[in-house]
Amino acid sequence: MAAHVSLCAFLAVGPQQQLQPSLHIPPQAKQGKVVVVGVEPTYLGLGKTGLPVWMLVGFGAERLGADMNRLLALLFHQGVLDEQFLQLQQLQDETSPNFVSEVVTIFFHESEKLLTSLRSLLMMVEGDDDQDHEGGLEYGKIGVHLNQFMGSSSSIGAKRVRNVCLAFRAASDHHNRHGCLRALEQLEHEYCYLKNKLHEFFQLEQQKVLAAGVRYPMNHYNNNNNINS
Amino acid sequence: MTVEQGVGGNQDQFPIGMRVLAVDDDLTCLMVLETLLRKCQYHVTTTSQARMALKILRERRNDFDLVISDVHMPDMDGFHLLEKVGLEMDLPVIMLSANGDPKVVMKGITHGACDYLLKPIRIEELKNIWQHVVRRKKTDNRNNVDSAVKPHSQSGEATSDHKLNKKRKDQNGEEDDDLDENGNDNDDPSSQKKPRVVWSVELHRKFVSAVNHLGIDKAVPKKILELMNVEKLSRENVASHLQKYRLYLRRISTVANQHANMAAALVSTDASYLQMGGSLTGYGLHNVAGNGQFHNGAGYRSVNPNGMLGRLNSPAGMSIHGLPSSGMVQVASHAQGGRNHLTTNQRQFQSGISNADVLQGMPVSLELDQIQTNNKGLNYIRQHIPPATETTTAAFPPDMSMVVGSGSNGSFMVGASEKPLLLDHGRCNENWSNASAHSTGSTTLFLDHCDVPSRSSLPIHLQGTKADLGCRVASAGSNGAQMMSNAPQQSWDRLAAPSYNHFNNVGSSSVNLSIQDNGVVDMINQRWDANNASLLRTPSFSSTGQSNFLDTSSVKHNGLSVEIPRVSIARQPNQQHNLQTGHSHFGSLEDVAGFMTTREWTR
Repeated sequence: MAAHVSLCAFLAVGPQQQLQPSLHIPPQAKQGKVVVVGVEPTYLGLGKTGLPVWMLVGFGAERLGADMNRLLALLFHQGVLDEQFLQLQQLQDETSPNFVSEVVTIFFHESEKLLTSLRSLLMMVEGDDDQDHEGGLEYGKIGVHLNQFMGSSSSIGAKRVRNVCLAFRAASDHHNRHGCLRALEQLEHEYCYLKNKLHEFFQLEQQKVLAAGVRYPMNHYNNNNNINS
Repeated sequence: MTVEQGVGGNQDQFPIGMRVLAVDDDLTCLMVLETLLRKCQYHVTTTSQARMALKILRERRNDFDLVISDVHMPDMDGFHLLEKVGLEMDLPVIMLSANGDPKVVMKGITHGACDYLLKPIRIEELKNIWQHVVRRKKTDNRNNVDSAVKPHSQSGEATSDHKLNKKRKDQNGEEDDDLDENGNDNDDPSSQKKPRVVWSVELHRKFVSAVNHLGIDKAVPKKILELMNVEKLSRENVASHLQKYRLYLRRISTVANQHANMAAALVSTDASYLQMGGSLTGYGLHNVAGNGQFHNGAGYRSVNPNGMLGRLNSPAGMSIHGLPSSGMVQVASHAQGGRNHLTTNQRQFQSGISNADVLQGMPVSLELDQIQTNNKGLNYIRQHIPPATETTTAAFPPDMSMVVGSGSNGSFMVGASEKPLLLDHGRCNENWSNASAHSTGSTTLFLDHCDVPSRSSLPIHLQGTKADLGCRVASAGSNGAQMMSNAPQQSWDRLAAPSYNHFNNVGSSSVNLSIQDNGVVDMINQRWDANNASLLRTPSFSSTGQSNFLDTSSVKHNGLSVEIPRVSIARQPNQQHNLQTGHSHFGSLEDVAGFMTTREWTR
């Protein structure tokens, strides 16, 4: 796999980088075979074709996949996600190819609403500090929202979000406004972090799909390969 | 909300193709659940609203094998839905929740859930849910004599219920386990759409009287069947019905116990009521009699009407569903049995009342469509009170309708709202004003209205009690359960004329059928504890009145307009109750009714 290694050495394109060199893909490319033509030779100075090597040889998808896995591993390690997320991934197949991203999108949408409600409820409670009676109503609603938030976050495997919800609910049960505020802030923080990371993850996935659609026949490339130059 | 059409299940490769209805207001979980179920190769239909789920089930009951529902939903409590589905369609229901608190789990089980799953759901758990369907089918097949009955039919599922709900508190093995004894054709002659037995008012009345005769603790399906002496009724039908009835009573007693303080506060100090109430313990509905104690009804709020009402509903629903009278009958029987000190007249009243109460407690909503102003209720009353004769919607049906009415079809009669009906023995008039002051919930107003009409229909000797009952029943709920105080001695005629008008006015103004949790239930509980007897009376009264009332007036509460016409008292066995609207109300009414009825005999 020396060739592989050397190819990777030329991999100067980061996962986020749009692989859109001045590449004119002839119609043949649509079938998954690309004949590299008209590529600017100065493009990253990679190989004769001018395209990123890993892309040319179909490593793009793999690379992106590796990045995705690394990201996931990180999130698992941090406790942001748990195995439920893996279950969701396993559910994704040909019949529902975008299942995970769809579910997560719905989750984000619903969560934003929940967070907004939670914040407004807590603000209302603030005003009625001296009236436990009124606060009770808000805390009750907060509890209901939190219950839903817990259910949805646990369903997609957002472990940390769910745990913060637990703490939040405990504070709300005790009518601890200060504790609730802290928990809410923490919840918003965790949620934002999760959202960013998952966005990143799905971007990688998108790019992977794109990259996987561009395949260069290995032998064809090898025949013309002059990577080591 | 995604609703897909469920195709008839492929039974050949069961569990593949099992048709599941998934209900969850959380769209994220719903989507995950749907995909998981699809992965298990089930047919999935999803909805995020409980009402829609019920609608779907009612329309296409035979299109589903299993229902999975979330516990906490905004439009309807999951337990409530659970009971309804269990009673109406007799489908296995699995509860879902992020909350794994044992108390909540127990609640689910007692409400009849086949299983209780915690979120996040794993596919391994879903792969086994088909067992609940098979279990039910097997028991049904064993019980069904009629081979024409489809495998999905749920008649005679007493045994299956017994097996499936072993954790239920009231499963004390009293029911006859003799499964080999296959009863007669399960189909009640009057039932048309479903193969299951429809418990008509008459049938339920007999059932309740038989149970009371035997004693609720000693009643076994076999003996009940013998006492009832009804053709074409199988022991399994009776067993199943008995189980539901017991559940209902248990639920109501639980609800009542939880709010003993409420009831105590609301207990009417009226001696006459106490006398009437007699030994009916826990029949706190009548507490509010004329003392305006109902104001305490605000306390009910602590009660979660959804939960309670849901529970109440199930038995009530059961009873209402074809058994409007049965609830009452049972109550009455109990009342009769328990009240040694009561005079005969009082006993009669009580039985009538208890019937009424039971009726009220019964989820009338189920029966509302069936409940027409008929004599069924009266027949029931007649049983206890000789003179009872043709009167529209005899106390029984009206009561039922009253309670039920609110629940079903949006026309929620008294206390339809989640709050338990506060049956108040007290004077209707007094209570009404007092009750208005309360704003615990929107229940029971309806009853008041019902009472009035029913009075006229009740037999003469019953009128007095009926009026009381009517007032009382109505009071529960709305605005702190307006308590109608009925002078026990009021004659029907007297009541009918002036009170009707009064009540109508009061009712319309004070009827607050908003469904409010907790308050009503609490109130009812307390009342029950305090005044059992009075409570009994009220329900019957209100039910009769209610039917009339329902037909003539529409109460608007909290934006919910009571569809009076829909709440027809008469119960026709072949009529399927249509709970399309006012579910929330229904729930409350049912619950209240159920609650009240259970209180009746729970003592």
